[in-house]
Amino acid sequence: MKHAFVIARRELGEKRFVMLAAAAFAVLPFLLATIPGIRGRNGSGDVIATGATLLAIGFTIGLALVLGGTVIGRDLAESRLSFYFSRPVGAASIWFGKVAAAIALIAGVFAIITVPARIAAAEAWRHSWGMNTPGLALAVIGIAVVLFFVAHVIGSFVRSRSGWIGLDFAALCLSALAAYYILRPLFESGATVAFSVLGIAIGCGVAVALIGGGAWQLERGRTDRRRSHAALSQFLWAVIAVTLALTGAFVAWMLAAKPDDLKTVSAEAQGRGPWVLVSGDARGRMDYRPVFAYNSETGAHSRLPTRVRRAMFTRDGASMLLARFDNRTKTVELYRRPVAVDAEVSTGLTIGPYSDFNANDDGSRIVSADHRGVLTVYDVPQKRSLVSARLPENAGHVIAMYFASPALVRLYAVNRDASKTLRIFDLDVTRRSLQQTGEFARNAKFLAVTAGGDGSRLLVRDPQNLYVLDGRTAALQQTIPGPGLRGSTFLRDGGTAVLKDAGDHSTIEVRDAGGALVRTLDLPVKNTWSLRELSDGRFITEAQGDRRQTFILDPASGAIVQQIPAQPVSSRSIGWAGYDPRREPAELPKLFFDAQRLLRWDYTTNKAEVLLPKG
Amino acid sequence: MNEQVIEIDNLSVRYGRNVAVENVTLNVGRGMVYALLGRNGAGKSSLIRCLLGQRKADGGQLRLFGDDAWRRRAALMQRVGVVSEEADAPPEMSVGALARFCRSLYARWDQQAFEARMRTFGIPLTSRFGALSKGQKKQVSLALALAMSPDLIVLDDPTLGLDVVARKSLFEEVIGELADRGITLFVTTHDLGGVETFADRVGILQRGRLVLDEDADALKSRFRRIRFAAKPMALEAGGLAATAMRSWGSGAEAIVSNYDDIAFERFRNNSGVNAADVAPMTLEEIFVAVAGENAGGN
Repeated sequence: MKHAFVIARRELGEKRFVMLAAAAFAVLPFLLATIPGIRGRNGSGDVIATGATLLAIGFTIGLALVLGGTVIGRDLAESRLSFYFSRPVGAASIWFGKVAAAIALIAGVFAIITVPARIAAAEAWRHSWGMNTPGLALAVIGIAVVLFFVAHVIGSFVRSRSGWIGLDFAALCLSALAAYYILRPLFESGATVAFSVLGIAIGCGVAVALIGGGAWQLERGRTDRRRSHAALSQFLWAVIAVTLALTGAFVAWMLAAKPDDLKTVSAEAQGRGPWVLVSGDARGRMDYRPVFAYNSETGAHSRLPTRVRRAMFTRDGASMLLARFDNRTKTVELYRRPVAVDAEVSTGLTIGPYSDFNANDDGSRIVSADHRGVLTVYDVPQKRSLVSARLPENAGHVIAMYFASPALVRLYAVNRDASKTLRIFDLDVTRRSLQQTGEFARNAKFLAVTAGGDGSRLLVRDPQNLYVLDGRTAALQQTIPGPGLRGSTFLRDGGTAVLKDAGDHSTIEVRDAGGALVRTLDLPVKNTWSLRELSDGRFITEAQGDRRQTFILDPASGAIVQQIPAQPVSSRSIGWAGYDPRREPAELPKLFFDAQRLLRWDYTTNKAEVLLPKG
Repeated sequence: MNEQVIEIDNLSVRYGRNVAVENVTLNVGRGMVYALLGRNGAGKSSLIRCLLGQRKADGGQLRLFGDDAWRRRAALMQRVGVVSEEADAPPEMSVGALARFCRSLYARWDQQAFEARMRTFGIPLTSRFGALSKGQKKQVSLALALAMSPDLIVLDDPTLGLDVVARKSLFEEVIGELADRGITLFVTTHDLGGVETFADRVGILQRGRLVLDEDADALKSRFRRIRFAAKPMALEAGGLAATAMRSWGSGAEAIVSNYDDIAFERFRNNSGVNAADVAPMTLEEIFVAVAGENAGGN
């Protein structure tokens, strides 16, 4: 320590002329301010503040590069290091003494140039830099110190005139590539905290390599130029390799999370059958949230790739469509895979980042609609586009679409004007034609659409009413007054059921196919939302009280026959994948989620079994 | 002289495929003056770098005061004064600043002795090191090496660049005095005449190999130049080894490396040679005979 201080003092003494040069530079902004015509908005103060800042940054960075490039390299090349090595000082003292002197010089020249301007032009300085002068100084000096170490490495390598430099270049490329591949999955999966933490960890490893490398270089290489280079290379790349190996192993461990590792669970979507998409916070993984296709019966699972932001089960439940965002091209590539298999295959279809998509029942055909209204139907096995068309200019944007048959896509578009118009289009793949089949206009802020299971009729809702329309022509069939409307559904007998809020309780209005009110059921539950008819004819609704609850109701009396303290997993897709408006009578749900848990409800015992998280 | 200050055992130094020092073994005891001789490129500087812990040997061992010179370099340098072949002190430092710098590193620094030597050499303390002549730089380096009261001084060609007077002063006054004080000296030099008077032991490096390592007196006593008036005789018959044989006028000249009077008398009696002139040899002549005019370094 004492010897490092002695060497630092000697190095500072040797380079004291740098301080004098900095003092000369400190005067320059004041001289500039005296030149007529050079004025800022706040007079000469601006010239002094800006001039001093720019000069300080330039001088400090330039000095750091020169000092770094010569701190060891020049002494080695000129055989002057033996002066130190023939004295009773350790290699670490030599290195850290020189480094301390360099950092003191870097900080010193920055202060010498900026402090007079900071004092003389305080107002202009505050105007330019706010009160964050220490932040500015820290940033500039920090960057300069990093550049000092980098310049030292480059200087040592170049001056050694050794063939090692080729290996260094290869190691640099490999390290950069490794860091990119280690951090990319975290960036792509949106795990910003994990990305930052591991990025900082790699940065710390590089800093240790750069700072410790000089000491190791002198300890192992001493006065020999080539051995010095070899020692620096070995330390530098070994430390960086270990850092990358450790962070890489940690990232691999993070990405290898299993459903058992989840500590909180969000059930995102469910296909037909036992498969469900779950995500959540995994133990020790910071903010990385893996997404799994999880078989609720067997526990089998497969992890979705990190780049998947949107996913959907196909209607037959056998496969999934995954949307992978490519940050380089800013496009989304669609992949398809069987739900249980960990290998997705590209469909070959690339769409825009804001495009919507949907698939036919088995996923063999995909329709996409971009934000400009361009529609494309794509055949997956043939990997080719079957038809493309563009919606009329005034049609607005697609809010829902589905394959009415493998050769016919039905689309619902709503314009962006204050007064909304729902337009229905048929895109015929065989005839390669796009035809508007219906139109329904309302002076309303929004129009929301659901359809019956076969798509032949629509339930369209605006803030005031609920409308029953023909699913193809949009011809108005019924208008149901809708204040307090919370949910609606078609019934198997052709009628409708409408869920309404009635203050301290809810009601369900049941109507026949002609729209006549058949009965009104009172539910002793408030804050209800969503209404579906089960395949056995009972109703299912959800309510938000202290917690979300699900109620199964007797359709004749409205009596609650089952109360489940959780919410069913009902969506077929996550992350803004294609919206299919068709609502078939639902199977009695078995999977629920509540309080960040995935549950299986046993209707015979009225108890929930927690599937995830484990333990 | 029992304690070994320098112990070199099978030392090898290589630069890539080139062998600079090969299996050198030598020992230097306390108070000894060891002169290592060799032509340019013979491996002297490589050996000195290893000796000072500035380069790791590729093979063998090198110990200073019983400690590994590579691993314990920093501690050992408290006891070792060095005058390197090329002046390596920072050129912008003044002589006084150099002394102040060294004073803060050495436990046994003698500032008065340093200043006295500077006065003797006529070098002001305010002089910038870079502005000094080559000889003056050597003198400053020597004064720095002596002021830290060393137990061992390593002189790497100390007379290089010195004029005749300074050279004489260095060898006769300074080194002679140090030798008298029992300080061990390890000297590499081309100035063989200078070290001849006080070197206790001499080593000769040739192409990285130590071809000779012997007490100086014994060395000088066994080497003789013998000149014959007539055709040279078969010296081997008398048990004498001729290192070199060449024509000399109408006769011949032989360098004998194992001369003794009895053997020579026996040879002369047996061969009937009458006119033979036997002369002792200087260290320089022995060096030339051993290292050879064409047997240079690598």
